[in-house]
Amino acid sequence: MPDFANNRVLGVIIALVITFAIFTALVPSFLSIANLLEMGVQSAIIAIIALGMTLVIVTGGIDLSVGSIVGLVSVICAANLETWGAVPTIIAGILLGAVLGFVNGSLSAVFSLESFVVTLATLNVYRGLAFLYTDGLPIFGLDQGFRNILSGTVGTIPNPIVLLVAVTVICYLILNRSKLGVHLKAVGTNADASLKSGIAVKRVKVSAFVIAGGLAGLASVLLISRIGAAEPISGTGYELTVIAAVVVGGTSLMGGRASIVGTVLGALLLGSIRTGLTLLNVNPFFQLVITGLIILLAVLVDRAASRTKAKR
Amino acid sequence: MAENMIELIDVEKYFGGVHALRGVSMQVPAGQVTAIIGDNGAGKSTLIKCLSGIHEPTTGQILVNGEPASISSPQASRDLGIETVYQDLAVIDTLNVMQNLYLSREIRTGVWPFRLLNQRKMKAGAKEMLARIGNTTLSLTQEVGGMSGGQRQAVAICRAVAWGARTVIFDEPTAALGPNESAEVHRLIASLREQGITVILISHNFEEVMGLADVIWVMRQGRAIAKRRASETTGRELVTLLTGADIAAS
Ligand SMILES: Nc1ncnc2c1ncn2[C@@H]1O[C@H](COP(=O)(O)OP(=O)(O)OP(=O)(O)O)[C@@H](O)[C@H]1O
Ligand SMILES: [Mg+2]
Repeated sequence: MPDFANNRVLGVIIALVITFAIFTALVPSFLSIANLLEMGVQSAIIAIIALGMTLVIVTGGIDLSVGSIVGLVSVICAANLETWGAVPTIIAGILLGAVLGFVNGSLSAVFSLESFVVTLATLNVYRGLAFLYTDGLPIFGLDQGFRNILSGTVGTIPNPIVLLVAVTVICYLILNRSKLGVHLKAVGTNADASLKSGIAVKRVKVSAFVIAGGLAGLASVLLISRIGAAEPISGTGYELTVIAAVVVGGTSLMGGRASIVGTVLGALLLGSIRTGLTLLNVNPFFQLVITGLIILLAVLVDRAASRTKAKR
Repeated sequence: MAENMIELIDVEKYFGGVHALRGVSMQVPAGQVTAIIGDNGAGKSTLIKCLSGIHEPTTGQILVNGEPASISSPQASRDLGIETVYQDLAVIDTLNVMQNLYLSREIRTGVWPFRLLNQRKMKAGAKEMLARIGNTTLSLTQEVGGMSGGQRQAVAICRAVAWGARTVIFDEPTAALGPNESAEVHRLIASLREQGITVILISHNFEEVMGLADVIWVMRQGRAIAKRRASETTGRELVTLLTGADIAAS
């Protein structure tokens, strides 16, 4: 298991190096500290959500509702920031996301429904609630103190990057060093055998959705602190970017195998390509095409790798 | 200890319209090997899944060590000292040998929420478990998915016998094994019996059953239709009971 994951992570690192080399050759400022930090900050939100998504995908599930969780949590936190205060709002954002994740996981577990279908439904429900909550209006002018907590810096390192590193370490420990991690992989590999082995399969699945929701909640407060505003459409389409990062990072959509480091690198790869193309003034529509091709390439590489592995 | 480690009283199991168990009453004497034989679809696996917590009987009662038991989950079954080697083995392909042996019994260190796996202790424990069943060839860090049928079987069996079970259930343990590996399993079952552990053995192999079992139950179409002591029956009689040929002949 580690050898495959590490080879795959190596592949993403090589892709990152090539990407950096090309963009630096074309735009020398690409490799400046300022630009690197900016890319890290921009990728942090997607990467944090993608880490939670990785834990769901390793169980063989998927969470299509993360973008809508971002929308709903964003407007609720923004609207109540003044009454709640900065730190309670951040905590509330995480908890609210976790509750929405719990709803996803429980619906899927209790009714034995595919998480794809359940979260397709809650994608609509949560987004609708976000619009209802603000009557469709954006919320502006968030408190600067709140914004500084999440979007300030530690020394020269922006807080979102510090936060991303912390979340990565925690998710790594969960997946690779904890009992829950072993059970997440077991459930994703063979739910029936996991049940027979005494694993509380439904509880494990729900746990993954709760973590994914909580991290989407954290990403929401990060997002509104960066922008200084919240809109009910915030986070629209995030689910696809996030899933792309996970897949590019080498995690199998079939479940059972995942790489935490790969997911972060996948998010960074997609983020740096986006930034580089923007610096080059490439048409944004063309950027979409390139992102799509990279996903396709990653999937083909995975299949080639698993074929050679099977032959061995 | 009760005379019967496990007793089923009038157990019925429906899967929707399928009547898989039709009033099964069966005693499993403590410290002996009880075999269950029967044609495909007779209900053998369904019966033992009622003991291992996969299915709950629709009606009827199960006594474990003389006490009424409600076996609502695999964990509940384990808590009653029952371990099962399933027909499909129920090992996890993407996990290694050690992780499979310790699945849902992981050793951890630290205090919540920082409780991480104690790999060192589990490695030592897993090594000892394998040694106890006389297996020194399996590598603890090898993924189970890449192993041979016999090796996977060894992992599944090791996991079942290593945790001090009072009852071990084997669902067709040798069906997919070669002669040497089968003999290994037979030796292991005999040694469990010597240790006073109760064994339930499901098998299609009469030779195996006659050689290992003290008591043989015959199942047909969801019913336990006959009980024989192995010392007082013959393969021929078992075939007759199994197929119902006696009824047809008379
Ligand atoms: N989960 C289930 N849902 C519906 N029907 C089931 C289920 N499990 C078993 N059955 C049915 O119950 C009956 C008994 O099956 P069971 O697996 O217990 O037989 P068996 O004696 O173990 O056979 P084999 O020797 O082939 O393993 C069969 O008719 C089977 O189709
Ligand atoms: Mg069977």
